Amino acid sequence: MKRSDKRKQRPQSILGAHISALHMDISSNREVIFEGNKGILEYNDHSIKINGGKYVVAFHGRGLHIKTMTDCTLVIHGFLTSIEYII
Amino acid sequence: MIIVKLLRWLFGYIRFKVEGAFPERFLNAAARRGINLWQLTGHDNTLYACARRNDYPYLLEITRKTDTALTDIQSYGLPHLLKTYRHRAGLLIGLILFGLGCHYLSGIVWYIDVRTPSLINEYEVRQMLEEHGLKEGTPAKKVDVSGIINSISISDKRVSWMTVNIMDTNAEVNISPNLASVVDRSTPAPLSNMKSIADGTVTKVEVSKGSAYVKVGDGISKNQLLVSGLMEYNNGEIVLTDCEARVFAKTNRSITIRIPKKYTLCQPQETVTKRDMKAFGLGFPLSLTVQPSQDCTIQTKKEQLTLLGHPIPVYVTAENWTQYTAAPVELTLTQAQELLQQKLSLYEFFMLSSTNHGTVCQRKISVKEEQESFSLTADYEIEEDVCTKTVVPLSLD
Repeated sequence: MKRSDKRKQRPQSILGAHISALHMDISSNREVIFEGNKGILEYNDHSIKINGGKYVVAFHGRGLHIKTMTDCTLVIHGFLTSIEYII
Repeated sequence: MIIVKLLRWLFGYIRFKVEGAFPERFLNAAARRGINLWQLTGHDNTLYACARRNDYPYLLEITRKTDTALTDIQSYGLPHLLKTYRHRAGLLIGLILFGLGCHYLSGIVWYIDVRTPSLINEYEVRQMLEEHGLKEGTPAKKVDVSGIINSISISDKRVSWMTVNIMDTNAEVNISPNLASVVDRSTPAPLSNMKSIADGTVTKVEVSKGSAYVKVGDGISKNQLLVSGLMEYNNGEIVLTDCEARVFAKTNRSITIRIPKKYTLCQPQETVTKRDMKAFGLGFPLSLTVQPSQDCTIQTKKEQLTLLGHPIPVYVTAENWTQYTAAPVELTLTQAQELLQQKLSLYEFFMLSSTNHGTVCQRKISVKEEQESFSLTADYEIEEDVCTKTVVPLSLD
């Protein structure tokens, strides 16, 4: 089996396999741990829009950036001013 | 978080720039492929991110599919360092030698902490340890701990028990004193007498045990029996005892001290200091001072350096060389008298220290000027305890 094939068959992480619903841990207005990511729709330093499946979550603020990102989880860091649910 | 950073560094990672119309597509595709990204920053269709070094080929594949481009790729971590310096064999050799050096040096005793009671001198203990093969710079494996403990405990009666603990590069030596060796355990002799140590006239007799053979006013000569341990009671009973008595007598002593009129006096001139450093068994000079060719005295001071309160095997030795030059001196009578008085005071101090409770009753001093010297004659009349105990050996046979 080729290495690229192995890579394609990489299993989902434990969290991603079991959590279909969106889950967020918000620390003050500085950091958000977002689980249930289905795709990033918009990414810049003042707005990040994430597809959460049933709805889209938009984070607005200043100096926003993704600290780390895996297949279903990401950590957003920056100065958050608002969180918007787009249904 | 530190462990995560360390693992990333060990496996190697790249930092790159993603350019394209929709960099978000790149992120989503990378997430679907299970590629972890971190430190994502960027704006206006440009994105900076970090990923594992091994994920680079898959990232290239993703860029083709998402119509983006990877530029400004920089590599970090251990694999990058090894690749960069793979042609520099010296670095690898140096690294290996450094590791071997650390390994070797960590197996050597560099500091000996000796904890002794006041009864046993620390310097003495260090000398004994050195004789038995434990000193700074000795490999810890070669130290025979049980052998050292056994031989020192047996050879030195003052040692009750001792422990030697080798902890990494430190050795801790604890010694407990044998108090029985210090306490006077002499048993009283069955029969002893008191004899005189000098000629004189008896002034006081104090007898606790025994029969006095002299009384106040008697003249005594050296080795004369003063108190006998053989006691005879009125009922005819005879008891042998260990004498306890003090017999004071006036004795005479005389001394003559001479000093030449002309002599050569050595006087200190200048002091030169030489400093050396000894680290890990190697010596380094810290000054370029040369030892004076003339007569000199040397005073050495050895100091161990400490780092954050912990002693390290680095010693700084300072040697002070004081030069002396000889100059002829001619004494006048006044100067000679002063010098002779000083010497007489010294003699008097030591003479009285050597007697038993001696005090000076009378002293006659005369100074004479001779042909080539000055002389001082002192006649002393001293009251002292003239008793000395002599044990009479008794045999049961």
